[in-house]
Amino acid sequence: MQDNTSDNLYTKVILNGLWRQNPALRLLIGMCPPLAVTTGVRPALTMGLSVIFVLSCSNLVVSLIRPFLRPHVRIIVFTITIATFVTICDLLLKAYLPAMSEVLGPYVPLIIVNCLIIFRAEACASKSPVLLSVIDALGMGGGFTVALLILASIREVLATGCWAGWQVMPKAFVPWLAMQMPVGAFVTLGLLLGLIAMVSGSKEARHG
Amino acid sequence: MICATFIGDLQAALPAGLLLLGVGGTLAVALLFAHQTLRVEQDPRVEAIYQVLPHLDCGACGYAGCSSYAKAVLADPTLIGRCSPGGPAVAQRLAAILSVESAGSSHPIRAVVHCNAHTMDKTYYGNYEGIASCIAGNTLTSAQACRFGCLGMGDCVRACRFDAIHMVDGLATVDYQRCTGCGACAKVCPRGIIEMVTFQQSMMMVVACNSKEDGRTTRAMCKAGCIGCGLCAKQSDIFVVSDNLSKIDYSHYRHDEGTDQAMAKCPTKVIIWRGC
Repeated sequence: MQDNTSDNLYTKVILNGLWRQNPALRLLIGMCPPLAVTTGVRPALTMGLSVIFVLSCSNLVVSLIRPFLRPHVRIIVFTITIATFVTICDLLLKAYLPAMSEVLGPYVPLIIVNCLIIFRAEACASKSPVLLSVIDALGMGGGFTVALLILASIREVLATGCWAGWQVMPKAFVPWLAMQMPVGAFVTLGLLLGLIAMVSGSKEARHG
Repeated sequence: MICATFIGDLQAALPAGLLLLGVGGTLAVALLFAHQTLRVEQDPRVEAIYQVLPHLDCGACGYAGCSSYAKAVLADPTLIGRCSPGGPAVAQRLAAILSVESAGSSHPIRAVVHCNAHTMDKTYYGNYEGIASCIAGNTLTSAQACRFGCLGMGDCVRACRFDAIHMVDGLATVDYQRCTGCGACAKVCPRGIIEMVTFQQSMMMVVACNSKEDGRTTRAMCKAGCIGCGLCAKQSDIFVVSDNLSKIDYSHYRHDEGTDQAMAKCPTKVIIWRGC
C-alpha cells in the first residue's frame, strides 16, 4: 500500500495541511486570526495570503540553514526569521493595500507570534529538504486560509448579507449583527468544529 | 582545568554564534532593502499634531484617542477646537501647524452641575438600598423625592478621569482647578443635570436647579430648588423661564447690574457663581 514516489508524498503533505492536520480546524493552533479577522472575506483572504507568504519564506530559510542549526539557538533563529518576513509582509501591505492594512491593524505584526509558523519550522522545515518544506508551507498555509475563508463567509453573509462586498442575500434578509462581534466568531467556530468532529467521527466509526 | 573546559565550551558555541550572526546579518540586510523600497511617506504633520495634543485619550473630541483625532484634524481642519482638555492653547497650536485661522472658541469649556441640593436640603420618600449607581436609582422613586436633582450616587465621579468631580454632602461638585471639559460626566448622568458651558469668565452665573415641577411641589421637596417665579427674567434677559424652571441662555451671557439684581432677588437663592 505504501507508495513512496515523490509526487504522492507531496500530494499527501498538501492534503495533510488542508484537511488531516488543518491548523485552524483540526489542530486548533494559531487561533488569533480565525477569531479576529474573519468579520469579512476580504480581510480573511489578505490574512490567509500573508500567512502563506510568511510560512513559505520562513520554511524555506529554515530548511536551507538546517544543517547549521544548533538545538539551543534554534528558537531564536526561527523567531528572527519569522519576524523579518512578517515585517516585510506588513510593509508590503502598508505600501500597496493601505486600506486593508488599516483594517487588519495589529493582526499582521501578530503573525510573528502565530504558533502555526514556528510549529512548522520546528516540526517540518528544520528536518526536511527545501522543496518538501515549501510544499508543506503551502499546504498548511492553504488549510489555514481555507479555514479563515469558511469562517469569514459564514460571518459576513449572516452579518451583512454580502459576500466579499457583493449582495448575496435577498433584500428582506435582516442582518445579524452579532455575527460581526467576537461572539459571532466564537459561536461560528464552535459549531464548525462540532460539525467537523461529527463528520470525521462518523468516518472513523465506519472504518473501524 | 576550568579554563580548558571553558575554551572547549566556547568552541562548541562558535558554530551556533556564527549561524546567529549570519542569519541575523542577512535578514537585517533584507529588511533594510524592504524598508527602502516599500517605505510609505507619512505626512510629518500627523506626528507634529499628535505631539501637541495632551495624550489623555479621553475621547472628548469624538475620536477614539489622540492619534485618531490627529489624523482626522489633518484631513478636516474645521475639527480644530474639539480637544477640550487642551483648550484654546492646543487649538491655536493646531491652527499654526495646519496654517489656518483657529476655528475653536477661545474660552475653555467646563462642566456645570444644575443642582444645589445637599443631603439636608433634599426630601426622601423612602430608604433606597439598591445598587449605589445613579442609573439604577434614577428608576426608583425611593431614591429621592425630586425627580430632576442630583442623586448623589457618583456615576459622574466614577466617569471622571481627572478626579475633577466629587460628592460633597450628596451633591456632585466640580473641582474647576482640575476640570478639563471632556464631558464624560455630562454623558453618564442619567438625569442630564450636568451641562458643558463655555466659560467666558473665570466665574460664571449658574441656575443650580433642574426641577421642572411647579413651584409649590419643588418648594415642598427641596430647600434649594428653582420655583420658576420669573423674578430673574424681569431683571435680565439672559434668564429664560419655561417649564417652571429658569435657565441662563449662555449664548447671550454677560455679567452686569441686571444679572447681579437677578441674583440678589432670587427668593430661593438658586442663582449662584460657579468656577474658580
